[in-house]
Amino acid sequence: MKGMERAILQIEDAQGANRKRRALLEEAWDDFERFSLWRRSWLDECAASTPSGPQGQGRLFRLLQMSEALEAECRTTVGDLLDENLEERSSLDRRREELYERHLRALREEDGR
Amino acid sequence: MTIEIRPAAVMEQIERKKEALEALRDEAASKLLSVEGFSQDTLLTGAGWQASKDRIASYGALLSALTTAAERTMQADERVSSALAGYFEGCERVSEREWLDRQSDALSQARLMEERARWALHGTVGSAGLARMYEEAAAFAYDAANLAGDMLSKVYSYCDETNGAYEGDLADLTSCLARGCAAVSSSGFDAEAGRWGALDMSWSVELREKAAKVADQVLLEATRKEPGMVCVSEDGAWAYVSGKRFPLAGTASGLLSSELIAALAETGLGASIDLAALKAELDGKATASDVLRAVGIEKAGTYRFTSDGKIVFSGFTMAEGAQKMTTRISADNIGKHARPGAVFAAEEVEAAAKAKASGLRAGGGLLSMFFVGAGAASAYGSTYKEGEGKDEDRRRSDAEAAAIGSLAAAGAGALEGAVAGLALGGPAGVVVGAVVGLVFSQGVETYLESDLDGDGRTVQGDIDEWWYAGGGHAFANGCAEAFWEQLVTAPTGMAR
Repeated sequence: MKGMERAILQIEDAQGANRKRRALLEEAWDDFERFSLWRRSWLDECAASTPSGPQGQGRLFRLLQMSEALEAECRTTVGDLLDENLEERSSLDRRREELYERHLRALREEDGR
Repeated sequence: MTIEIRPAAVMEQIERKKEALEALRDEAASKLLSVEGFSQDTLLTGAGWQASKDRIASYGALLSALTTAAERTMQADERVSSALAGYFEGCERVSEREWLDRQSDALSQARLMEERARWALHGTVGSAGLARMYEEAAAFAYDAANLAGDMLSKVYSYCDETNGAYEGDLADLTSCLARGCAAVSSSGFDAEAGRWGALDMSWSVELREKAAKVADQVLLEATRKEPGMVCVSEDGAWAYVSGKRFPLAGTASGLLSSELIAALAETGLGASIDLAALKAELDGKATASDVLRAVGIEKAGTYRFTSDGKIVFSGFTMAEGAQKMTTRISADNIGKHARPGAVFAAEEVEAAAKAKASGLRAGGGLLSMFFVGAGAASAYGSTYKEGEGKDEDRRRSDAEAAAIGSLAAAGAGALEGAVAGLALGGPAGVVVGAVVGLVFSQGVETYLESDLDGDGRTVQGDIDEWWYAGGGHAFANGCAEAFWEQLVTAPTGMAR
């Protein structure tokens, strides 16, 4: 019995860590959202006062492409980490549920005896 | 105070200004030719002519400096314009403050992202993938800061290249020009004293010095683009090649010095005209004057080498009266055996004919001025007579108004000239001024085609008849003397 209770406590600890990690990932997501807003407005501002030609608008265009690729990559990377976190949370929830039910069943059997 | 540049607006302004400056330069240059032609005419003699020649010659310095100032200003404009096109093409506005803010903003973002990358690797977060994303964001922000830095470098380079473009010697020259113009315009009629003010010429020496300095810069700048140029003046001879100035010694070997040949070779022109071979041929056997005379140059002026191996002359008095010509320079036409003028036989005949025609036109133009001047004097005299019984001041002022009115009818240039000629005094000044004005502002050709004396023939027709009859200058001189006599004894009480 005691082993089962310990296992439940361990899962609850893991759930706590999962929640904390989710909060950090959400913070990172917000970081990249803010960064994305900054780089868009920065590039927009520059467009009117950057000279034409490869050293001016060409370079700005490359920076814009790089920025869009970066934004997509950030969304994918943080999104994947959030998905992983969500899966982990579901898995921890399921395991905790199972252990809890098993623990209840064991308690009832002991009471019956 | 930070730097703010509006490239499109400045380029548009320069483009508009260019047209005005070109017109000013060309007009001043053409008037200068008229002035020189008139003031150096040895056939027109006598007190009246001499007085007007002296006054007109003094305007020559102003016109010459004006031409140089216009040329140098256009070069400065060109420098600004090409710097703008090179650094900021397509930009409406460039602000140093804004780019400084953008740079600082991007650097702050980069540092923030670096900090977050370290945070992402921390035990609590523990994500290498997340840290890499932050590092990539930091790299992007550093790139953005670099772009802003490069824009700031463009702003500073542009300022370095163009700062002072209109200052220094050019500003000194324009300020001296302003003094000269003010002196000329202030030498007007003093109604109280009843005489015309004397012209203050204290600015003329300084103006000539400053104009010569700026003209030197004009040549240096011009040869940054053109292969080369040689300028011969009364003070000596210099070659201008690729923006460098080479003093030319008095010998042919000096004229074609090895340093000059090397500089010309750099332009790619040396090979095509084989100056080295020329130098070897001429070395020690001819003087610079011989060489210059061999290519038809007798007096000061400039000639420039063109990229196709030709020399274009300008401002020189050429041998045999030629004004301007172009020829290929080679050992055949600039050698030790060349005789003055021998190289350009065919062109010289044509040029000499043109020079003669130009002399005729100048003479005709000046003669035609007598009709205008006579009209003015006659208007003055008759109005003065009609005013008998009136107050003397009133009588004179009416007569002057009538004379000026008569000149105005002859053209705006005559009126301008009349004002300029006031310093000469009384109606004489008005008439001499009319000559200046007409030569200055309307050009002799206009008068050649006019029927100023109302005989149904053009002035050119009248002039041709007198000229070819051999009495052209004699008539002009006689007319001037008689006219001057009449003017100085005119009933103004201001006889000179």
